[in-house]
Amino acid sequence: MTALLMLDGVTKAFTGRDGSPLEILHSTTLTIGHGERVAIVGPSGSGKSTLLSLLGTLDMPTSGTLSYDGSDVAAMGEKRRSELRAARIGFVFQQFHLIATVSALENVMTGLQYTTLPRGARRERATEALEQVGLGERIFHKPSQLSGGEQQRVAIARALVKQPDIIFADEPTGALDTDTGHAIIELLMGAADQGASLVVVTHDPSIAARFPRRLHIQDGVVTELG
Amino acid sequence: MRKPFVTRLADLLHTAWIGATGRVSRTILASLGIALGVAAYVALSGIAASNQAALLAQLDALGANLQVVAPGQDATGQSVPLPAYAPDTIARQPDVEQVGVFLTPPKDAQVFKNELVPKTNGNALAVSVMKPGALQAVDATFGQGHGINTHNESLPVAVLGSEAAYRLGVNQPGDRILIDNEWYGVIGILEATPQAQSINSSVIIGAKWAINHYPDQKESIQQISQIYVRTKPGNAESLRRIIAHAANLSGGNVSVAASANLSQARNATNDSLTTLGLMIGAIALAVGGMSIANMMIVTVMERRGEIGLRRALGATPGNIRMQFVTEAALLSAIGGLAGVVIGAATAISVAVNASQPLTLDWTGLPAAWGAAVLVGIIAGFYPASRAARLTPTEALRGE
Repeated sequence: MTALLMLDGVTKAFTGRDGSPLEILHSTTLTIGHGERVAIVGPSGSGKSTLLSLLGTLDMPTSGTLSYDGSDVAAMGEKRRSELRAARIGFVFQQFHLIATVSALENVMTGLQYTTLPRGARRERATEALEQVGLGERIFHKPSQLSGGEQQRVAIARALVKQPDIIFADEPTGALDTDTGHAIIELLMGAADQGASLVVVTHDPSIAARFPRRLHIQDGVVTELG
Repeated sequence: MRKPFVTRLADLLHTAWIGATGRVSRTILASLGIALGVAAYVALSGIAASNQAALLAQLDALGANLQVVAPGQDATGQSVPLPAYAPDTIARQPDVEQVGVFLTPPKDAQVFKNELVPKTNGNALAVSVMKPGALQAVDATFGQGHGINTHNESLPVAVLGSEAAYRLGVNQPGDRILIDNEWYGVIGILEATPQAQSINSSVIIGAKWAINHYPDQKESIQQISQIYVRTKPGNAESLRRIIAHAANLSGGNVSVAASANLSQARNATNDSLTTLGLMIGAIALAVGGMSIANMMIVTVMERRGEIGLRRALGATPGNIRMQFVTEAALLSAIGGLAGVVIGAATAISVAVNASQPLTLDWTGLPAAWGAAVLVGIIAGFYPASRAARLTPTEALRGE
């Protein structure tokens, strides 16, 4: 399995209230391969989301290097990192982050807005993605007209629509009941079957158990659970 | 690879539209200030223009359509006499309504009430020589008596301008006055003529009598000194050219001037009202711009989640900045459009109610709208920059 993402001695520190640096993530070295499925588990405040932000290129390491497909992400510059996210990385959030005033279709189309695709093609692919997540009948519904599970499906469709290399899901079931949550994981797993890597942050052991690879993080230290 | 320009523009406008119109009541409130600013400017300048047009119509009634043709000067400064046919050729022009002919007065003619007045007290009165009908052309009305016509033009009779009558102490027809040692009977006294002020201080005698009475000056008296031409209201400048050409067909120089220069008065009026409209409009636009800036700051804070999401989806800080600037511009464009409509409607209804001619500066409307959009862009810049400065993680945490 070739490496898609590589962390080499990566740390992340924030400035604490007293002005001293506060290291949230201690030196971490790990790789995530193409098509790999990884669960990140750990208690709240352990640094799960920080790790996910770093992996998703939303944040830059304080030290160490993060490479994506062999190129150093820190050296890319803001614009190329944005292009990378636009074309190749999908995100799913706990709070869905849908735009409340527009339809499911428009929300999914937003997933392609920062690519070079023309609007017509975006619409086609967004419709397909919504069919793929089982919402083909509800593409013109606004988020407020959808249930929580349906809203998260829209968010997943938005991540899938660009046919990403990797999908990051930060507590995707956190706002959903258990059954709906499992259905959502099912959906993400199905998407990963098409070739994308999948990294899911969760605190639910039953969900983590479904992943072949699990990373445990506590107090900023990452350990492989195998 | 870059996105095609049209797609980028469509994306930008679409995203801004979604953002700006997502909450309708807020959109209305935010763009209200801009709408009021534009409306104030459009309405006040429209009302000013209508007032001006109404005033212009009044000025035209006062004689803006009365032209005076006089001999011109050639290159050496010599007077070029008007040809004798000039009154006829001018009268034939389609826009000419009436023509009044005055001939050259006898030299050094002096007017006195009687022979007892010392010869040094000339009263600064001018003698004018008129052909029958000339007074109608200047719209002169008789206070008393009547004018010189074909029946009495060869008799020693005179018509007095209002000021001339006052200075001579003549207050009724039938009195006599003395011009160059010859008694004349006063047959009419004119009311003041606002359109041709020089008539007021004139003593007017008939052409036939003057030519016969001053045989030694016959040649000079027969020369036309002035032709008053009453025209239909219209473009004074082109009328003047037509009249000048008709007055001397061989192309000799002719002087044609408005009898009273009212055009300056017309330009001076109501500029102040337009300026007031511009100032009120500018102040209201500035306030409107601040209310948009204010709302955009709140919007940016509220929509941190969306900003974070868009960054995660691949938006650059520049994309985010443009989105919010465009949103602000769109808000003020909507407000500006409403303002133009409200302002124009106000100006129209005021003009209709006051029965004034409607004069709206239609070309100024897009400019007013453009100013509003510009204010929106400026107002949106600071909030948009704040939005662009948020890091994706900060923004995503924000909700």
